[in-house]
Amino acid sequence: MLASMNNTEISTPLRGVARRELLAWMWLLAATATAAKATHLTYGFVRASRAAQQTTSFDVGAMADLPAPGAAPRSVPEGRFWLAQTEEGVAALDGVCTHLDCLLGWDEQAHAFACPCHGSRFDADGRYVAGPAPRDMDRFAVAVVAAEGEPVASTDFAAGKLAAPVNLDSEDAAANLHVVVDISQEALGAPAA
Amino acid sequence: MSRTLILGTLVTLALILLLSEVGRREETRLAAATRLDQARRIEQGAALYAQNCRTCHGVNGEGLGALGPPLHDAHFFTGRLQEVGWSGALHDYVVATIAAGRVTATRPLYAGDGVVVMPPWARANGGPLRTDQIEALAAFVLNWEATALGEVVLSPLPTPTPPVINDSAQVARGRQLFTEAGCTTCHGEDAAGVEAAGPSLLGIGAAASDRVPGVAAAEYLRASVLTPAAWVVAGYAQPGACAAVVSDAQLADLVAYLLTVQ
Amino acid sequence: MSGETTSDDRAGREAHGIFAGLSWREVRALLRGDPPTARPNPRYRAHVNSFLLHIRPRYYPAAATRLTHTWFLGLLAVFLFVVELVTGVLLMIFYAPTPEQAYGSLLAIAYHIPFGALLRDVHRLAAEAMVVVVVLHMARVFVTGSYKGPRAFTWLTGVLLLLVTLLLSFSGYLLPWDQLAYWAVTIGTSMAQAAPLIGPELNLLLRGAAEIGADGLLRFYLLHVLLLPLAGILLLAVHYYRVARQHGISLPAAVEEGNLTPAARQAATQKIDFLPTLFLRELVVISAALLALLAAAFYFFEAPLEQHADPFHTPLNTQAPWFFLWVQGLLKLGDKTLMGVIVPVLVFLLLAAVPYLDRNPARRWQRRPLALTLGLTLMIGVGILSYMGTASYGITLPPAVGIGETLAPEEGEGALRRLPYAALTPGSHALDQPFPPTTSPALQSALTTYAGLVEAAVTAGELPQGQAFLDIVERQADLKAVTLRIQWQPPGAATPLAYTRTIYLHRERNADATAQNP
Repeated sequence: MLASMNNTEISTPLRGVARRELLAWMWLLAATATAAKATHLTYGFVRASRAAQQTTSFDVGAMADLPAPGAAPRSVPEGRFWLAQTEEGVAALDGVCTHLDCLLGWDEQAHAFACPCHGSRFDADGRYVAGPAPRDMDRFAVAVVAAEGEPVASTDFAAGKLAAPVNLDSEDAAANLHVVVDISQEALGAPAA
Repeated sequence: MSRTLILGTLVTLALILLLSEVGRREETRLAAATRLDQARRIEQGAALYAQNCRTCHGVNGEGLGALGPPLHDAHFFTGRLQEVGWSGALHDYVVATIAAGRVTATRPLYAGDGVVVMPPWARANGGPLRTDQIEALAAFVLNWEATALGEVVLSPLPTPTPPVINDSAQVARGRQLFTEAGCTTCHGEDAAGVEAAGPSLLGIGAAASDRVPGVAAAEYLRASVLTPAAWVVAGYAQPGACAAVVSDAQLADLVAYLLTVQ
Repeated sequence: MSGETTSDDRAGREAHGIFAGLSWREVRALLRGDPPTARPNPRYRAHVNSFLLHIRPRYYPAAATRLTHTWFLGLLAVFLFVVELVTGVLLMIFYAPTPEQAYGSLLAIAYHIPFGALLRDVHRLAAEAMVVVVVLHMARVFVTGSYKGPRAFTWLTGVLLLLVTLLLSFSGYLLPWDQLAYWAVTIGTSMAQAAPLIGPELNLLLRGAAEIGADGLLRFYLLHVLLLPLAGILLLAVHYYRVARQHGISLPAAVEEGNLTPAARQAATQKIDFLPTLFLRELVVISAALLALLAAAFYFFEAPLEQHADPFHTPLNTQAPWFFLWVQGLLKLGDKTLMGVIVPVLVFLLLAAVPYLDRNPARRWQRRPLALTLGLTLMIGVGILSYMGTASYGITLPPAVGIGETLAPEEGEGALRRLPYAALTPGSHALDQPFPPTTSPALQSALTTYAGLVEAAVTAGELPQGQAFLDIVERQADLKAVTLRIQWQPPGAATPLAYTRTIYLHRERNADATAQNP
């Protein structure tokens, strides 16, 4: 504007201008805080997931029906897991590939799990063999119960027991024992070597 | 600019021609699409049937002993609705039966094992099938009408080739089970048969495929174990509690053994 | 004649509204190619009076309008976006976004609603074409160096538009709720889950639950029909305003930086008015594009639809949509967080930062060897990664399963399903025997293919003592069961191993193909 403005120091009533400016900044601050709060509440609305009313407990039948140790694992499609008898006991292997959630298939010739999406492979006990998967197959909680429901053996993820250790000495015991898998409890597989 | 105007007009004319052609063909396409839709539905139904229904109703819907009634016969298409008092269409009857299952048999022969005669298949009733899958099954079953009523005659079925048994461990388990489940009482040690009590089962694997037309050996054996009254061979007593309590896996082992016993 | 034009005749007053303030005389002059009928040029006033015209440029320099400069790619991208909006809204009339109804509604659209199949095919084809056109447009802008100087922010909005285009395609992918949709999006959201820190939250936001289900479908639907189109329209508005009104389409680099004679420079920078010249030219391009799109969709293209989504079974040969194959290729290389999240994000950040990283003020391609080399490297890299992303790369199937999957795939057609019904003579065909004389040529050719595959596997030692059969049985009126049976015996095995795959073929399964070519 006028060059003289730069040279002449006009004494402005500093208090009035500063107050308005300050008030404007305070309002902006308050508005930002409001927006942040509103976003936070809206986010709570958006991220909510409606409770899934699915079965989480599967009685998969008699102990005698389990695959023999070393044999091909048995698929339980409605629970998306596989039953196998490992060295440590009865294990329920999560059939969802630990890479990107495709469902694993069983390759009988190679005697291994194979993922149809990116080619990850796991052995009959769920241990990582090859491919881009980051860890072994995850496991679900297994409980072996007798006919009246008394627990005989179960997994204990906190203590590191990933399979239900069951001693099959008597044939009668094997026939009357039932295996129950709880998919709401899951232990992640060990990181791939 | 004249060039632009001429070009624009030509392109627009071509568009009109194309749209007219589309309109002209649409009716035929829709008719063909309806047939195609039904065809794919029947194909889907066929695959589902082979997976789920074959083990009780037979490969060709001919029924399997006392396990399941025939679906591929004239009575099913002409008299069944009257028999049960269903006033609606056969299609709806089939869909309803598949979806809801059957708690008690409508005919004494198919009494089942006393627990459930036919399980419910619809997801809403705890079964594994979606609504569209049940519709596909119904379309497949209804497609048997032409052959059931004799309007169409199919080429004869080929002689079934002997099944290949993959698992020698399974056969061994079946052999063990044969003894443990008490089959030797009537069928003898090593399945050689006991006079008047139970026939010899040696070589039953090859003979079973010829016993009932259209029923494969494995299915015949399976049905015989589960409902022994299904097909009784002349000269032997009515089998008693032949079907010991065997689980599905045990039954598969047993059948595998019986198919190879010589 | 008075210099001020005030639409003094009745006809002129009526034309006023429809023609954005132009008098009827002026419109006729436009069509005849006459100069403006008054001063100031009323054609320029139209751009102020009309909402639709206000964002369009009044004129462009002649060199900027050449076909070989822009190839009309930006225009085509907008055209395809509009086609998607229109076809999309029409399809919404019949589509239902729930898992129980989605697939059925698509079948209804394809088979029972007049022109439904065409609308769906156009929607799908235009979506794929739009990805191609948008990428080509970006490549063109890169090669002509039109992102430099004040146009840097325009480039940034363009990269965001590319992202919106890809996300629109991805969100639309789930809507048919078939096997391909379900599993491709499961993989995609699992990749999002792999993002550091925000991964699990992002996964929950997208899927609406731990796994994809009704909530996930609804959210993807909302993204696809509302949020992403809105974002696209806003970004497009900013992008286009900068191009048309703020900076104009860039002149070809040779004109801007080259030595032209004064006459040539005058010819290159001569103003070409939007009304009528550029407007009519655009109309021709749009009509031609529409014709090509409809013809391609009607005669050649069929939008794929696999089986109903099955959360309990992942089919073989699951593949990402082609524009994301490069990500699937990356995923086969290693850690999913690094390859699936960090690398793609870096690629996009790099693209967005191109104008800010590029220090070379020159626009002509001869003066930018580094930029062009880098651009070419990126395209080739994406191409190689895309090849690696295809199903056949890096995934080995057991040999018998592989043969079965080639001839009668789980999803898709395959050679066997294409055989005419009459050619399928019932019986058991052993591949090592000569064909009976009654075998039709079509069946013979399929059997030869089958035999070739088996022989290759036997020679490679994958199927020792391999024997193959094709059994065809007539199961019902108009329905045949075709079974592939492969037997082989590894050395030392007690019993032979067998693999069977059965498919069912109905006489009318290719009804529409036969109807179109009677």
